[in-house]
Amino acid sequence: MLSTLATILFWSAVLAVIVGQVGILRSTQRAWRRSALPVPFVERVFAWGPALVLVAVLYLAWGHATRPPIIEIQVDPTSREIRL
Amino acid sequence: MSPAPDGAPAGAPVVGDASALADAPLAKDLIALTKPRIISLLLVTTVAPMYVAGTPSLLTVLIVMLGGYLMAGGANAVNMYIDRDIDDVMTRTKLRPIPSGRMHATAVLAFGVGLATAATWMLAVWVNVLTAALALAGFYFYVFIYTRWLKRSSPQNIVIGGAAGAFPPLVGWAAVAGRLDLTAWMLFLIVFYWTPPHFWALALNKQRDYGNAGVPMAPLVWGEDETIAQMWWYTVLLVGLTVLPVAWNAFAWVYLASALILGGLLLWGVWRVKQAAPDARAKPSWWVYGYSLLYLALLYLAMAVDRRVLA
Repeated sequence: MLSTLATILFWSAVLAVIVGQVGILRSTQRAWRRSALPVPFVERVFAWGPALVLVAVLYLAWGHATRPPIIEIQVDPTSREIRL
Repeated sequence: MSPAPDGAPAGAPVVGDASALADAPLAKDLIALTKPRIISLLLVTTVAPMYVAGTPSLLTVLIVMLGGYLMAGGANAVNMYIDRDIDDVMTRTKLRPIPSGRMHATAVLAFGVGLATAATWMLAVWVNVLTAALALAGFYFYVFIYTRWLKRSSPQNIVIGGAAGAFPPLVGWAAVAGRLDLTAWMLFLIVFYWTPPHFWALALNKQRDYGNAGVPMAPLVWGEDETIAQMWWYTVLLVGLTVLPVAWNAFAWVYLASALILGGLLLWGVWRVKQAAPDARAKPSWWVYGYSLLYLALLYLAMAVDRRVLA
């Protein structure tokens, strides 16, 4: 569950990540267009690979940020006290 | 190998005399092969995540630091062995032990492999196998993926090759937690996305060197303007990434404030490079290169402090 501040932070961060990644890809493609030589396939993998990893990371981050809080309960067998 | 001054055998200092050891040419060369200045930053990005992942004992921290130094030092030595042909034509590197003729290339290779082997053994025996495997993966990535393959073949050499420098946070985390979670991988990604603007700031000022050596660094292949544009977008992305873990409470306000202030300064620095005229880029890009080192160290220290303050 996200608080309002955490929600703002999360989506601001996601926006910066997406804007940055799109900027990187557009810049890379501009550089390729100016090149007289054909762009090797592996160069395309190097450009798009990190972008795809980022998509997966953002998906996992959303899952992490919105999961319910975990409450740890420590039970000491020698006492009758339960600490949260 | 060159003999020590006054004809004494190299590497034979007076026992217990640290200054004599530092003055011995062989000892100095062996230390130089490990690139200690670069490793100091790697150690910060190794140790800080240990305090984020849990509460390590001092002994564990010392073992991981020593293992990390040996592994990174071994990788750097093997890098100097592989790059011995181009180190000779770059002013920045031609005084290194191999191109200057002070050490034989095979000895350097054996030294590097020996260090990596020792590091793998000590991390596996005294810490855990995952930590040793991650450190060794970083070594292989640096030696084979970056140095052997990408460095001389792709303008994205330091983008993908930058992953090698991002292994230390995983190593530190695994040493304490024994496994990796999303926060650990975020620390990996932060170093991964920090590397391009950091190295391209250097490359902008060392284009002639890289050109002479035939290394296709981005400013030479894509041009300065496009490289600087990419530095900007990588920095925007990096600042966003550094804030992200706060959303799932991996860090709190100490880290958040540090990430925003340090990131804001880095953005400002890259923006100055972007706005500078082509003949006035040297000064702001040197500033970005120097500050980005401080940025990463302080960001990782802030993570550890944040966790300790919360604790």
